[in-house]
Amino acid sequence: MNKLVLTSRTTGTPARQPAHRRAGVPVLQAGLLCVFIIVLAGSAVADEGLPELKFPVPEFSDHPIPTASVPDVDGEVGTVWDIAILLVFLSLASYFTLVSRSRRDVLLLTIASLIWFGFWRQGCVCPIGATQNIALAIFDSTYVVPLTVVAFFILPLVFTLCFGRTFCASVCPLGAMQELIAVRTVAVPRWLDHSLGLVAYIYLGAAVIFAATRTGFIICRYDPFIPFFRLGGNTDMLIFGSSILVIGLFVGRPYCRYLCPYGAILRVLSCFSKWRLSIPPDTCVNCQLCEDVCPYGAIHPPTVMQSTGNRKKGKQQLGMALLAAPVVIALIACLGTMIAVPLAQWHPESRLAEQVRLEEQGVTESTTDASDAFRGTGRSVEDLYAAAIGRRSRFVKLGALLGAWTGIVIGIKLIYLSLRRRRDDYQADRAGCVSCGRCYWYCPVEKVRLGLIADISEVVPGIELAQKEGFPLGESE
Amino acid sequence: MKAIVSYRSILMTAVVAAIFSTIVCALLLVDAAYRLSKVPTESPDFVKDRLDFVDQPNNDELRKRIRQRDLELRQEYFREQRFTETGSYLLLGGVALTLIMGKWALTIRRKLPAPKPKESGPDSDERLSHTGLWAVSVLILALFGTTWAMKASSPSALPATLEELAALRERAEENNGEVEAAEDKGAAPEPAIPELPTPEEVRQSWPSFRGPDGSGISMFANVPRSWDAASGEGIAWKTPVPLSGFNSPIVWKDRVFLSGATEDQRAVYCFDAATGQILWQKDVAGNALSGSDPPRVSQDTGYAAPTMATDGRFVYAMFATGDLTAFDFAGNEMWSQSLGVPKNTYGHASSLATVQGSVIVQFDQGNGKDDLSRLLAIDGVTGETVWEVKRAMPSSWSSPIVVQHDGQVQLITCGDPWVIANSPVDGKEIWRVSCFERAEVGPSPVYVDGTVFAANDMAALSAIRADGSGDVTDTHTLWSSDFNMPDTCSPLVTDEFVLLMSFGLLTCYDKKEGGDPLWEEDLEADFISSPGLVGNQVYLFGKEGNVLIVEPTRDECKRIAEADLGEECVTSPAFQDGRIYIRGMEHLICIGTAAESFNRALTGIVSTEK
Repeated sequence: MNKLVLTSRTTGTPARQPAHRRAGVPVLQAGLLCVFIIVLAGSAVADEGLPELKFPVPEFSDHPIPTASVPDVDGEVGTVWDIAILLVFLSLASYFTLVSRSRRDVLLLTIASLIWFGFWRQGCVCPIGATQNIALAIFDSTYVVPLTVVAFFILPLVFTLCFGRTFCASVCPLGAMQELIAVRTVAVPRWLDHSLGLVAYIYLGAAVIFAATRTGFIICRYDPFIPFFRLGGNTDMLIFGSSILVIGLFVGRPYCRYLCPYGAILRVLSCFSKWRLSIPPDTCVNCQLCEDVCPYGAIHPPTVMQSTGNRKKGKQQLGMALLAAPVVIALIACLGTMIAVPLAQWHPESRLAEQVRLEEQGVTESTTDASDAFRGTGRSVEDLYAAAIGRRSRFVKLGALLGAWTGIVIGIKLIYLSLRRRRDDYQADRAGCVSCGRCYWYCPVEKVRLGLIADISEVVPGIELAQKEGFPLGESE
Repeated sequence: MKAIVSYRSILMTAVVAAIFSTIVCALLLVDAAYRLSKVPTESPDFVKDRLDFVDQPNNDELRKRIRQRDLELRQEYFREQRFTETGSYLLLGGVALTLIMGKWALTIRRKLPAPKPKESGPDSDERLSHTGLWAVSVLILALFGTTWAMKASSPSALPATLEELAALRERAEENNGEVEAAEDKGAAPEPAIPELPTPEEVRQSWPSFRGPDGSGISMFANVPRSWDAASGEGIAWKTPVPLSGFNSPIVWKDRVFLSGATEDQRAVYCFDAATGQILWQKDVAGNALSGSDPPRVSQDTGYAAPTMATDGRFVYAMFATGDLTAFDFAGNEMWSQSLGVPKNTYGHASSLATVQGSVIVQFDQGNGKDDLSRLLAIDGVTGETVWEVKRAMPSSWSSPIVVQHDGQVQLITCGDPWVIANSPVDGKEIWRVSCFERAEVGPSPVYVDGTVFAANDMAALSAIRADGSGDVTDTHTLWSSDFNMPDTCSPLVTDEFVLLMSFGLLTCYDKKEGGDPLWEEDLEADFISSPGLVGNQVYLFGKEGNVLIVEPTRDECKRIAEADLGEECVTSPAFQDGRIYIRGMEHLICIGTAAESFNRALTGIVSTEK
């Protein structure tokens, strides 16, 4: 790192290069990563065929038919081991982010997490999916949630409350995968970022409702990276996962920012964290270098003084948002009642009931494996229909609940957008910052701290003037 | 210098690793494409040996060969699987190396950014507070769209309550009981043929295109005038139709029928009029296509333009392929036959009609000189041709109507250039009038109070007395006019007026005098659907789904109400007691009262009949 900086200084290369001069290597890497994604998809597709589906039991032989057996559990040691590794990784992530402030170490930990939690542990158990187990355990007393799952759910929350989103930074395998491929990112406009970010909360609401009603664990079912971690998966998920990865080349962490339900929880908790990442180790000199390098648009510039007229308008907007929020909640709650049928049909039993009814009506002539199996159970059709109809009526209320939750999230966002916050320097967004530490390398104050340069003016000519005049560098230029 | 060499070597390593990964990936993809379509146990020689073994179960040599082949196939399969597995790990290694080296190279050449000077004016937070609100509003709209899409794409075969389900199943069991009873009786050599319905039963239903006599006039005055497709208010039900088609719904008591088709699939659908559920749907074999290419049809005609017909015993459907079929009300196919793929420029579109137990097919095709066009009466029970008459005219898209004039049943058809009346008994011609010289005839004729009204684009509207014999062009044409002639919509005749819909222009003529139009009204919309009459109010269904209800007077076109279907519509409505059945581009829609009221009404009808 020393050599790099010195090379720049000794050769007299201007610290600031035109954007087009910096494009060569990222384009190369983006190309290579496209190959990586295709390659991963290719290997996963190649592994899609299952031998047991293609081969019957050998004929004319005494080949014993294997009986179903329950695999051995890891036991207490395995559980403790998993939790211990998570704890160590979280601690290291927090240390690298907040204490040693080393992007390189954060990156190495990210790779280690991807290898361990992703490819070795194949993405399970993970805190994102654990949200569903916890939801089910809360609403269904008969469900016993394993200790590992509880720990995987709780530990990142606790660490986030203490140190910000260090779990997202380098422990989450999903985040790690996206972190490593985010090489040619473009800035997502803040208005789009804020509105798309709401989708994660809606997804969280739906996931909790589906889990609590035993309809399904949709977070796991639609985990876009599982096919890559396990080198196999169905075509739909491969396409979805590949799409996320390709988008991830150009939009930093699209899954984390716009879909991840656990990330949605961490975003909120991160706002209340005791300690969190600070871009400069000392006073910010407003050099503006960090803003453009954040691939997640999580660094915001200082605010400027608002005119009286705009301040008045802002207050009016806040009033309107406060009035609109209850209306939005009520409206979307009503909307939620209208999707009771499609929501209920996510449950396999409801889908089975629909299929059996269609077969009964003669609308569909062919049966399915599920309907054939159902008829073999001896359970009455009336019972199946009653369960499906009962579930649908419950989903009218649950749909309203999901709608209300969505309305609340939107209402809060409307109010949040209407509130004015003051910033005197460049700051990482409390909710949006994933503590990746990319900004450290670019911060001249950090370079001074590390002893890489003697004075910030070596990196940012004119900064002394800016400091003296007392206004941000950008404006001085 | 050392740093530059180091950068190059790192970069080269990354490139080599990437090329290696790409080659491995290509090999894996090729292998996957080959293996995914390969089923080892379906190897031809293996299958042959197994089949042979069925005939020679004691052939030990064959048994050994099968065992050996089975083993080889398994070994081959798992060898291929190991190949994939090894390739996957090589790939991961290559990709990891590419990533690490690429990242390293990138880090070496890392430069500081060149931020642009900040623009003066409001800061990014202030801009966000304005634009963010709009973005959230768009998200709310997207939520509405998603809700609609989820609802539309998840139809349920189950009703909302157990009580409704019980009622539906009870009704189905009753129907099955009737069928079984009929089948039990069918132990006799000849199955019992249902009797033809009474004229009153026919009038109460909507058995063919534009109703019992093809006039588009409702028997019922209590047809809905207002509804809201968006909120569902006033819509009894709405059911997606699996296959597309431009034919209109027909109704017989508690059943509604439609057909749909694509180039290679044809189907008939029976809907429960109370709930809209599809009671049965039956595929129709493409007999006409064997040995022939599918007909070329225009996008506006499709493969299922002819409206079905029923004689109260069976339902009949025809398709652009020339396939004609009959089903009973339980969905059993009675017969199916091919009339041959018609040579029709836009695709066959003439609807069916029924008379005295026969189904009438107006099968106009060709150029008029090739002797292909004909009119057929086909026995509804057996599918045999009762009679067939040649028609020296080219393709037409008009539909036949069956009327009773002065105690005599007439079958009236339009084609270039004739309006012809035939006897339904033997097909003999009764009278004809020339009025459509060199026109592509689309609209169907209408008969009211002894007069036949026929109109067509590029020709004229003619009022013809229906009591002639032979060519009565000069003697029985009461009047004719040629303002604003329609190209697809059939005329609507009220007590006083004749209304023509032509490209969104509604034109009113005096029914007795004809002459110049009394008025014309530009409705500023496109209309393909033929108008319908309820009381003295005209129902107009626009192509874009807009619906207009007007009341024609001698002086003006009085607009009564407007509504919307929520989707495009090119078919004509079927009016029933308190209800309108209309086919949109995607759904069969029932406008009117809910299921309970309908059931009460239907029960009333049934008890009255008893």
